[in-house]
Amino acid sequence: MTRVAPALLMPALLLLPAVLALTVLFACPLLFLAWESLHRFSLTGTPPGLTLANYLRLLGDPFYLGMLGETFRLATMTALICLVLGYPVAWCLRLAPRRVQGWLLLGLLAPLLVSVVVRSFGWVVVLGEFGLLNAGLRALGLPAGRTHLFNEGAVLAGLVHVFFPFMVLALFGSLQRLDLQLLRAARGLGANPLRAFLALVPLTLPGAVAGVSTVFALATGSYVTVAVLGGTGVRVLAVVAYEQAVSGMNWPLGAAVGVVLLVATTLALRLFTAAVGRMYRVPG
Amino acid sequence: MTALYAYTALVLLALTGPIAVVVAASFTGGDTMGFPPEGWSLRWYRAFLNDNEFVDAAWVSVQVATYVSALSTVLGTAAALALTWRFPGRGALAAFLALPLGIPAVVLGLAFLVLYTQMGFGGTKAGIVAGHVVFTLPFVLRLVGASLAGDAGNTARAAAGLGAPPWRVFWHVTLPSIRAGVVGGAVFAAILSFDEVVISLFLSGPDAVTLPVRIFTYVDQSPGPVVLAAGAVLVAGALAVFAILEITVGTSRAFGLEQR
Repeated sequence: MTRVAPALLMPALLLLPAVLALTVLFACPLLFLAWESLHRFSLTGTPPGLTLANYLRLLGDPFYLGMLGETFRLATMTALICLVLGYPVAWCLRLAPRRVQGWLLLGLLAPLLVSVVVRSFGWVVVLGEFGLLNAGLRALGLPAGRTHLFNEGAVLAGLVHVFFPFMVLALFGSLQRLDLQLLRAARGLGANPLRAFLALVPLTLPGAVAGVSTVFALATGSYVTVAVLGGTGVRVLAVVAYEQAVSGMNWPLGAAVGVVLLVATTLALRLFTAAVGRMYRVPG
Repeated sequence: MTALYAYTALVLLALTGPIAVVVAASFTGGDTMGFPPEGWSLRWYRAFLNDNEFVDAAWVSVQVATYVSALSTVLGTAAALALTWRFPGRGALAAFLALPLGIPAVVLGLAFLVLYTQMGFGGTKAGIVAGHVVFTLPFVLRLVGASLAGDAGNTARAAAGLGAPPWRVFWHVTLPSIRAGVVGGAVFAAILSFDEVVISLFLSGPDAVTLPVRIFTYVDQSPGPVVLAAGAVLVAGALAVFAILEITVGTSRAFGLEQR
């Protein structure tokens, strides 16, 4: 006992500040958020007594349920578009020589250094009334005049742009563990290049699952891109949560929206991973 | 392969395009957020500098990023060192420290708003710093942890076994070997904090508005190219910090992509 204690004292002392900070600043607020969501709203202070009223309101109202559906639909489309666009990029990274790989990674990661606010505004400048798209349309002699913002397409463009690097990183991670000799082996066994490549595709599935999960989760929780590019035209849970909690001062309802968002996203990802896992294990 | 390279180059161009467009459009001489710009001028940068709310916000952002970087680097480095030991509950603690990365920013912002306000530091710079540290600490932990993955731990134990007191081991053996990871963590934390908008939005108050929040809220009131100039300032700030990292320790080494 006396011999073990000093050995554990050092790591304990080193860990204490970080664990304490995250307990007070992170774990407590999350638990308190759940607690807050079980209360009634009053402008004069939270009245005592617990209630499920906020959740019943959210899950019983087609208005809010529609927004949950819209949140998931946008996030799913963002993840799938990122997957389709990112898959060839990840392969390019994997096959490129080391020097080129470094430059490609830099080009991929550099946009992450720029604030989401700026990256979203980029699309305002591209799609807005006086933007690049309309200038292009006019140059081609096509009718252009209205803004292309404040609709689902604009939001999708922004979300794909913002989260794309995370998809490629996830795909690249799994491709790096892939032995390229397999490609040559398949060719040696008589497969044409396309078939040899297709034989390897299932092995990249873990990266695809990781990428889709990451992008989906990030997209369900994004507020700024949706607000800037969607305006009042696109309603998702993150927007409602902000409006209720900050503009409307209705913390309990805002908190309930936050809890629903967190639980629904986690649940959806669990189901997705389980489903792919089952499909993958089927022999054939 | 050529087609693959061409496609990748196109995608990377599309990734940088909207950012370049913001910077280019900020030099417009006209009154609209448009592209191509109507003539060139610095008038929107003058407007930015003459607007106290923008300048104050930029200063708040710099202060917050500095505090966040210092705090999360110290806490994260200490925790990363501790996790090189083997002890019961190590896995669970490591998972707990990484947990903030799995929570959507909006949910974090809501949670911070509700509890920090009750604790009395909602709407203050201290609140924003606290909120940012929560999600930058896991990044520092990961970067420093990666730099410790080599034989830094063993060398340190050897030095300790030879009788060096802990602070000497840390200062002369451990710190030099993980310098790249620590500097990388500090820089990354500063950039993440400098760019962050969602959590700051929930925690901002009259005296605590960061530059990204100011840009975001300004658009509702009167959209104009001045937000593009402010955005270009944000890009320049992030690039400056990044350049410091590249010069001091090298980016790829700081992010553990390359061992020395």
